[in-house]
Amino acid sequence: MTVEALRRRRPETLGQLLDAYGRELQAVAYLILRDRLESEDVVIETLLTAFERGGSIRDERALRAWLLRVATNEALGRRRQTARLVRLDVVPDAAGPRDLASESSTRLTLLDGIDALPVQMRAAVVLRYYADLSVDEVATVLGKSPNTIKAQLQTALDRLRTHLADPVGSSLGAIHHA
Amino acid sequence: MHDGQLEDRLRSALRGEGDALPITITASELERRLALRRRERFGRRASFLAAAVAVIAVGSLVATTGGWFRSTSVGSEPSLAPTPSPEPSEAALPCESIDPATMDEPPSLLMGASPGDAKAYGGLGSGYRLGDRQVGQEGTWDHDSIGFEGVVAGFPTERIQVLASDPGACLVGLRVDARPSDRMGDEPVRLAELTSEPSRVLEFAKPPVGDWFVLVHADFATPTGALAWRETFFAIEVPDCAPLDPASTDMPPAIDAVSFFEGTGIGHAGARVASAWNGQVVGTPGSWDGLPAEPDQIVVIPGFDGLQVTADACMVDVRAEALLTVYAEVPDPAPTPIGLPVRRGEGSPVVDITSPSTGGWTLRVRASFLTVDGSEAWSETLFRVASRFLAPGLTMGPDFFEIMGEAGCPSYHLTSGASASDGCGAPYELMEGREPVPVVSGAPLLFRLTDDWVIEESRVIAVDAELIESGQFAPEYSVDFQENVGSTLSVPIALDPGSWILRITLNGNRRGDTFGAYYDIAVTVTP
Repeated sequence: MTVEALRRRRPETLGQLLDAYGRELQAVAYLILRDRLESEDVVIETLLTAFERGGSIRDERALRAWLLRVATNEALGRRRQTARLVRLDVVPDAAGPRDLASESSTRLTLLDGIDALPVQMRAAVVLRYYADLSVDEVATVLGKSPNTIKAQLQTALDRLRTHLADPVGSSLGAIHHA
Repeated sequence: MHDGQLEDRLRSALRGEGDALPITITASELERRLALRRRERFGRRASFLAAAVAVIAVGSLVATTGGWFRSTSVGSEPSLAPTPSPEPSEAALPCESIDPATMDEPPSLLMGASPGDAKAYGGLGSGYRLGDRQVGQEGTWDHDSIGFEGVVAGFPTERIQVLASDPGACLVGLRVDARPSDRMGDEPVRLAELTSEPSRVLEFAKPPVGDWFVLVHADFATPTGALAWRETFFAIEVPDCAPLDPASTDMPPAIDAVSFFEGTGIGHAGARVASAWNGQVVGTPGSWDGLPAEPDQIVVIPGFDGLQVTADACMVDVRAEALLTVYAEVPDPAPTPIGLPVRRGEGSPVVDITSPSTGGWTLRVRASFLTVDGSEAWSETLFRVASRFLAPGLTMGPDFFEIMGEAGCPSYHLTSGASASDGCGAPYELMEGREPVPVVSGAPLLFRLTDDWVIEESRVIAVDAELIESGQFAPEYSVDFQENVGSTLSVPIALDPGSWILRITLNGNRRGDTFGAYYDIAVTVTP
């Protein structure tokens, strides 16, 4: 229905797009950028782009993949514009052994580890494990070969595993590749 | 912790974080931003990075007319005076009237540039009349903006063409009114008013420099003379090509390359290797050396992504060549560069060039700039472009219609010299949205590759789908091996009843190109 509305550019299309895809796009943008205001802006730009240029999308599934591609590119573009190396001056408080055993602590440690991944790799992780895209779809969205994505995802898993095992050690002096 | 557990935790962590985010954007905020975006776009000149979309293929028209890109003499200044009569152009080609008795509404209208891009662009429909039926009021400006970028009519375009989406439909009249996009309160200016013998394409002179919002009224020929017209809004951008003053800066403008898809583009800086500016040539013209060890790679997907070069200046002559990266194992290690034709945009800050075919390429772009004193000014820049290999899909009999499997881990060796070979042992990945194929034990399954690929060799193994799903070790069972298969692969499924994943590893060829990949397909075997 949204695809048809896009073709016809009905006034209500923007609202429909927002309802159908806004939450997912914002989450993807936020998980890449870690900035709520920026991620909202990414969603707005993505939905406006869809409204203006999405009339040739053939079906809903293609529309979702296309929206994710636009949003990811928009997010990566914003990150690229301000790309710099940021050295963490303040090491986050280390969680105690008991906390580490808890689920929420593991979640926070994982999120911290994801934040420390290079941004392209982080985007691949978010698209694969949050948006549930297949490896080929992630490759299409990011303009990489599936093999590159597979390698990136495997590297990400390895790094996250290391980070989980020793969150403090692997964070000390970490350099975030923005 | 093994990968499966970690992946589960990763999903959980990401979902917990992402889904907890409140969404505060509203539809009215989107509408406000849309209005703002349009004002900004029409108010500034260099908004071309996201290239024009809403492209409607007119392949059949191009095929029947031999293309409607044609040479037109250049020289007359564009004018706002109404066009007195239509150009004959393709008017001489046969076309047919439309019959109000057999259709619901007239064909939609398209717009293109002449000379220029061999594509037509869709507009925003307003109203129409077909016999006794009428929708909307004639000549009503019921939109104050258009939702997409329009026809770019830079150099060498002189005329704007209007045609019907149905290549058989004939136009007999045209009325075109325009308003500057940033002054929509102005009275419309008539750009053209003409009648014509039945013609596929009608033309009018392009408007002056600026961004224009135009309302096109086109009359169709009908067998009984019944009224048939359609009105459509279009946008026309006529870019200003201001010449550069070489005395004002030390260097000519930088050239960037942009890969774009459906209006969203990613810019990439290149490595300038030579330039001519202010009477001096520096660098090594014609060099293929100069890219950094790890250049910013531009990835394009053939058939999806476009390739543009951009500069903050008017590029009046653009030449693009590309050199295929050939790896050592290929017999001919020294290919000659190929030219990449310019598709559109010369005379503007954004020029579309043809994407290279599959492979890794060094792209060299030489762009000449317009200067105030007529002096030579150009810049030569190298880029790295990777054009992806699009592996064929796997279809199943008896109708071979739907793609049941997507290629995993493809490798290829093409006659162009492009090749890639990766060893990978990926996990079993089923194509999303595909249900398991029911098959009776012992019965054959038929497979074909899309895009005319012929299967040379096939190997089929099976693993227990439930074991895979639960993350357990799943032994692989050899199901079939065949050589010199041909177009259709018939695989007898001699498996026990249950859920299985078939990994079908294929080597194929097509007109000298070869490729290999595997395809995972879920099946449910019944006794």
